[in-house]
Amino acid sequence: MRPDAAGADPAEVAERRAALARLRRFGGPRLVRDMAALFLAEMPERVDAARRALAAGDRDALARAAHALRSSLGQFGATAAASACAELEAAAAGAPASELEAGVDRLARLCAECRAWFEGEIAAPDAPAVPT
Amino acid sequence: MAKLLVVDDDRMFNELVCRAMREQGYAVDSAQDYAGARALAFVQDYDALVLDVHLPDGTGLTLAQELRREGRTTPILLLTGADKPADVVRGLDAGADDYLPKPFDLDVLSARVRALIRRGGAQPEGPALAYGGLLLERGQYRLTVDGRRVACTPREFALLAFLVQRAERVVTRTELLEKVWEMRFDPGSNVVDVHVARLRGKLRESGARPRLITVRGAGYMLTAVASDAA
Repeated sequence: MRPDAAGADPAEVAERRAALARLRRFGGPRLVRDMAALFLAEMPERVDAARRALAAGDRDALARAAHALRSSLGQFGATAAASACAELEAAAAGAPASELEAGVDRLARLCAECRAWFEGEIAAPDAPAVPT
Repeated sequence: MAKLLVVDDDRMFNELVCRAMREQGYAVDSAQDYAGARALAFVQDYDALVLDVHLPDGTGLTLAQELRREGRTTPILLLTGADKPADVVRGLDAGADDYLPKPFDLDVLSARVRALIRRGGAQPEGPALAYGGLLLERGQYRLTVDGRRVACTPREFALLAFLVQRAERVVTRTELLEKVWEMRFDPGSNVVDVHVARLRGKLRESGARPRLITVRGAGYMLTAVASDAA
């Protein structure tokens, strides 16, 4: 599995902003706010679910948690974390536990960065994520 | 007002799709699991189902199969996190009419649902279509091959009806997208090719004389004349 970079790269930031702008174009700022709130609230729960599955040695549950999180992250343009989920999902069945643990740790770091970024972006009154 | 059932166990996606569809003026019911979805889908009369594949207590594919087995022709759009060709084929074989991989654009989702509802609402009327032993009884979506019933989805039925009306003529992929899928743009998927392949397989397995052939570089043709079939 690839090491993660510190912070999101500019291309990913553009993806995230485009995802938020598409949401806003469709349903206005309220839809952006509500969906981002749900997304951000569920993200740590999903990472915790992956950790619990790993601790229990339940590889199917780990794959399911990664799969579910991947879709949400992808919808919001969080491509690096979505890729980490895809790698984890693919590795869940056969990779050594230590590799899966590293994968979950990496996913947790990427999600934490992602969460902080989205919280800042949504909170900013004139953020480019919600262009008029 | 058209009525939809949205089924997704992911709270964010469920809410996103419900909100988006309500914004478009639909009445929307939602379920987050297979049992809840099944209870609603068999009791209520929906204009379309937006159905996630992975559910905690079953799969959307099973629900699609059950609905089709019971003769329910409600159009089904599958939402799936898996976009490998085999996953798509499994979904369509289960009885879905269309699929949309996650993540998706809400405008595309809306367009797909509109197209499904238009087609579902516009039940094909008029006389039955017949060609080379194929009989398509419009309105009931009933296909028989030399008198034998062949199961097909509403989308497959619409595709075959279009091809029968243009039998022995080449039909382009763009024409099929426009006339059968009601899309004026290329969705960037292989949805036409997948449906054509499935329909071709069904015709072959049922022993139908007409074959659905690929005319390389041009499109597809339903023909009862012997040729170099693709």
